[in-house]
Amino acid sequence: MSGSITLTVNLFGAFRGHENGKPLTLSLPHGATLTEARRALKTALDNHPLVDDSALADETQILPEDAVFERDTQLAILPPVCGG
Amino acid sequence: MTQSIYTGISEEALSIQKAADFVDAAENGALNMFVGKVRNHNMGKAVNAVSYDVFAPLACNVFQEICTEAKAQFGERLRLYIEHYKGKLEIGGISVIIAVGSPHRDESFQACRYLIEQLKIRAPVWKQEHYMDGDSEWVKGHALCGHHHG
Repeated sequence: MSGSITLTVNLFGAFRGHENGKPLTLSLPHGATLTEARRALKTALDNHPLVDDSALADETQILPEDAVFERDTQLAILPPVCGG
Repeated sequence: MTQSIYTGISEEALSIQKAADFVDAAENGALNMFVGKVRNHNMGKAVNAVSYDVFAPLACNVFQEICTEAKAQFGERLRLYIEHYKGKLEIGGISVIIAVGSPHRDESFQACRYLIEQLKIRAPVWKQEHYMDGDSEWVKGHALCGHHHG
């Protein structure tokens, strides 16, 4: 199947400073990998140095590095954490 | 049977009493608690407030996971409570409460320590320190992704 999908990515922590923390919308080819999504995010976030050390997640789990996106998806990009 | 695990994210002031009440039970002889508070300094800089950002649905999932792990390691009879604050806190404000109720003290200490240490490295929570000089900075943290970059 060809075509494109849309990833809507919510921003947290240090990424909140990017355009007032407004979610990013990325258009990627159907079947895009997590690595490709991270690369697109790095561009969208002006090469922010924390992107390489950030996880991508949905509301229930951190996505594995071999994740593939087959449909429009809502995500979060999670920079290194420091709760407590 | 009542629930033995409570996890939550709150934008209201956290309550030590609420945590103590939740983990209390007639069969428990120990109540152990960790309370995280905002301090007035970090890395040599004077701090006057901290803002906490939280990805709430995933954070609650992680809290549940680490509570389940704690019960498996330290005893199924434990009663466990984790609540984290979201928003801005002044000095002395409570950012997190971990409470453990258990029949005996040893497992309560171990479980309490386990919960806070795991929360700090696994929960999607971030803090931004606000300094007396007017500057602000997101605190460096622990990466959740498993990949490595050259």
